[in-house]
Amino acid sequence: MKRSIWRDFTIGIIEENPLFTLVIGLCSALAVSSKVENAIFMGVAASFVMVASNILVSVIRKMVPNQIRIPIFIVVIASFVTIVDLTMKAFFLAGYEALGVWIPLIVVNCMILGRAEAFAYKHGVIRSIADGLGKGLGYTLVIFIMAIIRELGGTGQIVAFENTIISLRGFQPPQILQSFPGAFFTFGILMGLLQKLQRKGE
Amino acid sequence: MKKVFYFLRLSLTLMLVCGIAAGTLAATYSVTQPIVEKREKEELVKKYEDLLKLFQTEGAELVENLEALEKGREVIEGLEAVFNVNKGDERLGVAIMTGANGYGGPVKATIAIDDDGVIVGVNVLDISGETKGVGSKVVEEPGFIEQFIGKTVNDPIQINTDIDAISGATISSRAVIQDVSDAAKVYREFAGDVE
Repeated sequence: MKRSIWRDFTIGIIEENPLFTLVIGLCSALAVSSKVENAIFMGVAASFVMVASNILVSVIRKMVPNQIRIPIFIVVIASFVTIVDLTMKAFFLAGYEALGVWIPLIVVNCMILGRAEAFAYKHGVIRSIADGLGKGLGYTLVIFIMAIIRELGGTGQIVAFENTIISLRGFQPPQILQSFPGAFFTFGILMGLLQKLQRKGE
Repeated sequence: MKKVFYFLRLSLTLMLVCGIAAGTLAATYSVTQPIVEKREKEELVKKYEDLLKLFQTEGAELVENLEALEKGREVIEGLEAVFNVNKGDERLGVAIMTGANGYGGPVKATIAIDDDGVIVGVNVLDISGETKGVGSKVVEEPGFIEQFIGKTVNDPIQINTDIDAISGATISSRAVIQDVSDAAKVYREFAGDVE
């Protein structure tokens, strides 16, 4: 039975969430989820690269010789990442400086190469867009939720785009949530909760 | 023979893909680079304006001292600019921009020295090569830069005897100290009181 395009999109959000279920692309997710603002920038940047590389890989898939497909995917992904990098440097300096090395590192994010290899190389353009959008949204949602927990819990407030959105008074924030161990704790607990919820549904 | 053509075809395909990618990137770069350069220039002008404020006077202006720059470059590799700070016909002091090597590239700083040879300000401009949260403390911890203020160009500025380095960021601290002592050297030998 052929999956619908809508299904290609929605499956990336929970059942095949790149972070919680497929468990790929973790390092950037753990690194940038200490601030909500960074999580949004990173989510948008990674989703853009994923959708764009999915489209291009899908378009050229019949012309790409099988033996050299991986280097070609890498060149495609690296080009889009560099475009994002240059564009952010010119127009979104705050985001560019906050994310730093994590933008160029999108190139080696296995989530994106993984989608090119596992999906876009075998499917048409429209379905590849749906897949890229769904996986991108799944990735963005997870780092966004993690960032809310880590920033609010670790600093006692959420500051995004120069506005304080929430500020907890009289709360001594545990700094560990801001550091890398805190990222692992948050990620592990969320992943466990999601697994439990999914088991219940079965 | 067939095999040779096969490999040739693969290589040419890959070359074509890389060529297209390079072209696209060159086009993107040519659009974004002017914007980045314009902003960097504006930021630099603003940094110099901040520097002029250190001389605590209105209406001062920067005049490039090319002679001192040329002579200074022969002894100090990272020297980038030497300015006289003038107000009317009177010279208030000099501003020297230099960059000694830090952890991951030059740490650029502008040092303002008044005409009595007293360091009145140190602006660290570029720490992009230093580790965020470690080397970057040289600008984030105000106490570090303050140690230089009020010293004269003849005072010794040795690390950890005259100037306390930031713990954990010794290399970046040393680069800033080197910048200041280079600037002091330029002042003493080339750009000091001209009379």
